[in-house]
Amino acid sequence: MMFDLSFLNMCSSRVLEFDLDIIQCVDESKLKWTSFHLTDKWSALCKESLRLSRISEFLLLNPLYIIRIMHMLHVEALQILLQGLCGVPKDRVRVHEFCLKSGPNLGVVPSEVRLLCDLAQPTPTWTVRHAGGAMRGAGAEQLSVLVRSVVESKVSNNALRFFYAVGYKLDHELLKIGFAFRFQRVVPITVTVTSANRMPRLHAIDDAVPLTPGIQLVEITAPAAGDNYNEVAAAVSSFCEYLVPLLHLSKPGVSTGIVPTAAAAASSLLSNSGGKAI
Amino acid sequence: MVPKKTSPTSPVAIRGTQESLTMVLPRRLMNWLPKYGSEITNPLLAEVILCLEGFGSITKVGNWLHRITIYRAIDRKGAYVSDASASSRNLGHKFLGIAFHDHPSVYFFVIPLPRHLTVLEADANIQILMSQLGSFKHSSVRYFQGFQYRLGDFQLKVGKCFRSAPENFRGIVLEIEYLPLSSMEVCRPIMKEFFGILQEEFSKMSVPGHLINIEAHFERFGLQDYYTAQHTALQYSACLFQLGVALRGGKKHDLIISDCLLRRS
Repeated sequence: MMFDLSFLNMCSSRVLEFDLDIIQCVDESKLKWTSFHLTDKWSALCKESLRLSRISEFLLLNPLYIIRIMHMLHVEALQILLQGLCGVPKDRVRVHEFCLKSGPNLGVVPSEVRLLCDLAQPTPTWTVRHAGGAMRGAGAEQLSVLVRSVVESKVSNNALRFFYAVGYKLDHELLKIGFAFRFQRVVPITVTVTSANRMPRLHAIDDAVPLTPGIQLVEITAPAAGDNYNEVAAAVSSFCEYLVPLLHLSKPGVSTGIVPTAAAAASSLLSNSGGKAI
Repeated sequence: MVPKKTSPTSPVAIRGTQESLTMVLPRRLMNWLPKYGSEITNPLLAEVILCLEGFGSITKVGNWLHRITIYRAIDRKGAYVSDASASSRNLGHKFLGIAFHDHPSVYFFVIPLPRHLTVLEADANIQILMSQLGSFKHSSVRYFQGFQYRLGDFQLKVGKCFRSAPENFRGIVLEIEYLPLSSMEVCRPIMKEFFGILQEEFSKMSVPGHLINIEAHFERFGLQDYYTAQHTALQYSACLFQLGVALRGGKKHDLIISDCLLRRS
C-alpha cells in the first residue's frame, strides 16, 4: 500500500487572496480521496493525521518504504526547481500564527484577525492581517483565481495583549515552518512552502507537532491593486505553469488530481542536483 | 529587556522587548493652566506665542497637526457597548487612536483603562484594518495644531487643542524636544532647566497662568527609559484626559474624555 500527495496552491496578495480550503490526499490502493478543510477545527485534522501516521509506520516496516521516501522528497525537488526558476536564495520561514476571533456580541458581524510573529528574524517581528470576503459574481467566476481584499500592518510586539483587551479571543494557533523564494517576474512574486504545526499546550512552539504529516502548503503571492489584479493573476498563472511537472495549481474549491509526472520529475530533479536540496 | 506588564500565562508576551517601531528623541509635553477665573482664549494663545518668539535665536520652522480619534466598541446592532456591559465582560471598549504630524507612516492606539493599560504602535494602514473589522466606531476626534520652532538644541511645538472648529479651542499645549540625547534620565535635568527658563519668561511677560507637566505614567504601560514615539503617544493621551479633567468645573466643554477612560482602580 502506498499513498501520494496532492499539493494545492494558494495565491495571495494585498488584494488578491486565495485561502486554502482543502488538502487532498489519495490512497492509491483504494482509489479513495480524502479531503479535509484546513479552516475547520484542527481536531478533525488531528484524527486524520493519526491515520496517516499509522500508514507511515506500516510503510517503514514494508519493503515499499523506499518508494514512500521518494514521495516525501517531492518537497526537496520543488525546492530545487524553485531555486532554478527564481535565481535567488531561499528564505527560511518560521511563523507563529494566532487566529483571533471577536468575542460574543462584539461588532456588527463576527470578525477574525490573524497575528503573525516572524520567528525567522533575529528579533521577532509582528504583523496583523485581516482578509475580507471573496469577490463574487459572473466576473469572479470566470477568473482562475479567488480575489479578496487583504490588509496587513506591522505592529509592536504587544499586539496580542491589545486585541485581547479590545475583545478578541484566541481561536487557534499554528506554527508554520518551511521556506520561501521572493523574486521578480513581471510582478514581485513570493512562493512559500510550509507545513502547519500545532502546539500541544498554549504557545508551546518548542513542542509543536505537524498538523498534517507529510503534507505541505504551497502558496504563491503577488501584490496587486484593485485595478490591475487581472494582469497580476495572469503573471502568477504564467509562473505556475513552470511548476506543472510537480504541481497542479487551481482555484480553491476546485480539486486537483495527482500529477502523474510528479514522481518522475522529482527523481529527475534530485538526480540532476546530486540528491541534495539547497 | 522584558516589558514590565506581561500576562503570567502567556510566554509570547515576553518574546522580544517592547521596542518602538519608531525611534525618536525625548519630548516633554506641557499643558497651559490658565489663571484661576480666566479662560483659554485666542488672545492668551497669542500672548504665549509672542513670548516664545521673543527668544533671541528662535526660528519658526513650520506648522503641525496631530489627530486623536476616540474609538468605541459596538455590538451587533451597531450601538456603542455600554460601560456596564464592558465592565462585566472585562472589555477595553474605549481607546484612542493617535496620528502624529511628524510620523505619518505610523499610528498609535492607547488603551488608558486601568486593567488594560496598553500602547500599540502600528503601520498607518491599521486604520483601514480596524474599520474593516466592523467592531469599532469613531465616536469623536480631537486635534492638536500649532507652530513649530527651533531654539538651539531644542525643538518646540506650541498649539491648541480643539474638537471641530480651530477657533473654538479649549487647551494650549507646549512640547519640548531635546535633540542631542535619547536617554530620558539624562535629559530630565536639562529639560527641567529649560522649562524653568520658559516659566520665568512667561512670568516676566505677565502671561496669565503657567505651564504644568503632563504626567503620563510610562512605567504603568510597560515602557522603558529610552524614549520612543510611544512615550509621545502616552503624553498626548494623558494631556487629553488632563484637559478634560481641568474643564470639569461645571463648564460646558468639548473634550468629553470622561473619567471612565481612566478610572482609578
